[in-house]
Amino acid sequence: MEQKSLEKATELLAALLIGEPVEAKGGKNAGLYEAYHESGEVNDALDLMLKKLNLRVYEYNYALYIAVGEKNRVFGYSNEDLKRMMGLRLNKELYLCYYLIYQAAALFYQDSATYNFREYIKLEDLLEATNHGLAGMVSELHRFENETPEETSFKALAISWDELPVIANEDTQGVRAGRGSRSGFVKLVFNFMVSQGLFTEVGERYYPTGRMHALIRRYFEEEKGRLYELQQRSSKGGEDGAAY
Amino acid sequence: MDGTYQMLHDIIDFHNDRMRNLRRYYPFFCLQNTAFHLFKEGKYSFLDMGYITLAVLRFFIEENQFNDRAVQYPEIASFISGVLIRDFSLVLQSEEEKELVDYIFDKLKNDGKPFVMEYFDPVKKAKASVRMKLIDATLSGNTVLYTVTADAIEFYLDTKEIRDESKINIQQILLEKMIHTKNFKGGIDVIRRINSEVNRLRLQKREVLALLGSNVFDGVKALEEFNQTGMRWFSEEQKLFSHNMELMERARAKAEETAEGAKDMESLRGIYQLETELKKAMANHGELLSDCMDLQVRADEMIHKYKYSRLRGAFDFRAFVAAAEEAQDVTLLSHLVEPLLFPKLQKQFSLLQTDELLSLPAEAGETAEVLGEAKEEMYRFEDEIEEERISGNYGAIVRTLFEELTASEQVPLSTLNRKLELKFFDGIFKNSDYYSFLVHICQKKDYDLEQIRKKQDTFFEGILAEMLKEPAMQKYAGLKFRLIMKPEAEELVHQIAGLERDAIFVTTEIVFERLKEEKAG
Repeated sequence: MEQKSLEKATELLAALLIGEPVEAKGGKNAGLYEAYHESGEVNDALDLMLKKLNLRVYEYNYALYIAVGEKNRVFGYSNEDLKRMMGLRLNKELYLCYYLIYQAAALFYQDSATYNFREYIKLEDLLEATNHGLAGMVSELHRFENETPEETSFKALAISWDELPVIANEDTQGVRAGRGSRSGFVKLVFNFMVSQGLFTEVGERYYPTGRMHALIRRYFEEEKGRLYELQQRSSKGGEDGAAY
Repeated sequence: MDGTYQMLHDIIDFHNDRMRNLRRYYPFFCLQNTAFHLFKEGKYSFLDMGYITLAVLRFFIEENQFNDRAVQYPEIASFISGVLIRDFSLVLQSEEEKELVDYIFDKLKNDGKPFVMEYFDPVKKAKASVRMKLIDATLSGNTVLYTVTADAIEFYLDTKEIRDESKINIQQILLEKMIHTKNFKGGIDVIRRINSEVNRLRLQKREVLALLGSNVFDGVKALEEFNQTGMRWFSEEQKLFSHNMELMERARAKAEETAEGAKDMESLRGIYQLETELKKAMANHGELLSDCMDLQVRADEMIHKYKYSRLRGAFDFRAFVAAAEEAQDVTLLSHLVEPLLFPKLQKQFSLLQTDELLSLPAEAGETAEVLGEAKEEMYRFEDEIEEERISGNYGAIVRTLFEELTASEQVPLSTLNRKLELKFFDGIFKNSDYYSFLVHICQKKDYDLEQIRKKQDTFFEGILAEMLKEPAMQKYAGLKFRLIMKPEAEELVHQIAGLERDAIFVTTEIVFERLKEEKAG
């Protein structure tokens, strides 16, 4: 392999890692995108490096996007990291945010191949989707008041959501991110997703980015086997703990 | 202005009606909350008075309504004790049981007094109260007969049975009665109630649709319930509507024929109003019907789409989350969220941790170091390690020498060196053990391994004796050899790469000669 190809591949990796856009349509990394496309050596070298670092790269709409592989000890996040980034204190709040992020993605994609042809979502949309998503569980809670559920159960999630007011303070104008209300949580999650390059905000409307489309379509398409196995195992989990 | 007036009218004028309706539920909650706390120091507070109340009411309805007979106390007592034994596994001494059953029944009939609920009457601006009895008693001869009150029956049915029926149907029947009794104003009220019920159903339909969109399984359940409580009454409702319309028309025709005077004119106006309202209600109802048809079609579409998407090769987020919900494990969601995040690059120090630093409590006193149970270890001294190494190295060289000696009678050192070089590469000549080996072996001229086994003269012989104990060395047990120095022979010089000039390995030639055993013997 030529030294030059290796150099280009490393440059490309660095650009992807620090989150610079690598697109064909322009920007300072257009040359790198071209090199990735034209040169097999650059392509191979980048793939090798990514594989060893447990990272993935996905191409979507003439641009490259990086994603972190499963259980990456260096580039992945711990619960503590995520809580710190979002300004949360409890694990159950983090799980609620997970659920909100899932709902936001599900508003656009029912599965990794079905795009709902929706241009943008608003804060209310996500709030409503979450209400609907948890409605079944919440109504069950009202029917049967049982012992305190485990922190990692969906019941606990439904309780947290049910106990939150829609807005924290009716006097203040607009919604502010916070942990005291449903809309506060939604705003907080939107802010986080914008910071992660998944959405862009224009006047309270949130548009999914190319990165979001790329990851949902490609990552989950590629990983569906592993995730499906996990899904199977979790549905049998109560019986024997392991499916195979 | 009108709207506010209407609202205030609803709040104030209807408050008494609402409280009268609410009163039916009041005894149940009173009993549920307080019944057993004071009895025998709360010994039986595990009993659920709410459950017992509903059970007894059902028993009364069975006897009073279905079998058409009043009940005497012994029957009630045996029923209650049956409940205690069957559902609460409470088996008591007959006397204590009687006491408990008496207490329960006293509570149920509230010692014969009605349950009184006090509230504020906004019309009179004063405290008012509504009353309600669950059980009535009459005296017949010397025995007391118990019957359930109409309110109690209504309450009991309200908890489940009414919900399953169509409220629209009940209202229609009421409307029919009102038309028959020419109470047209009351009829308008009834129609209003029908309209609000229709609106409620339309709202419910929208909720079902939304639920179907987000979770098919929950949605299907809700749809089924909606069909059960709402849609299955449609045809009957339609029939009643047209029946009422007919009645209205007849009433109007009759009124028009006989209309005389102001009073008749007023009732005619009432009929017209009612007719218009009824027409509106029918139109509303028709719309609800088409809405529900639409709901069915869209639900079918959604279910079909869902089934189809499950068969496709794509990753289904909803199915994954549904499985996680079933397993009650939210942590699985991290598999969906974490891949979407940027790689973590910043290694941060959380400011929250400074809080923890400051709030870390200082220890009150020094604690002694805890010593675990120590295990005695064999300690090996440096020279022992050296000795071990030396005997290992000597062993390797001696073995080679013995191999050569068994193969040929005379082994010159040059040959031995070559063999050693083949076996251990030229690194052997850098090893100081090799030189010390030569020095040691030259201390004696003759070696008899048999003798050495018994008695060792030198350090080297000591090592040899140790070696001979190994099973692999047994074959050399009878070996004897001697050393012949050949000072006239050429010196052996080993040029070893990397060594300095003065460190060249130089020895004189030595010949190891195997001695025959008979000669030795």
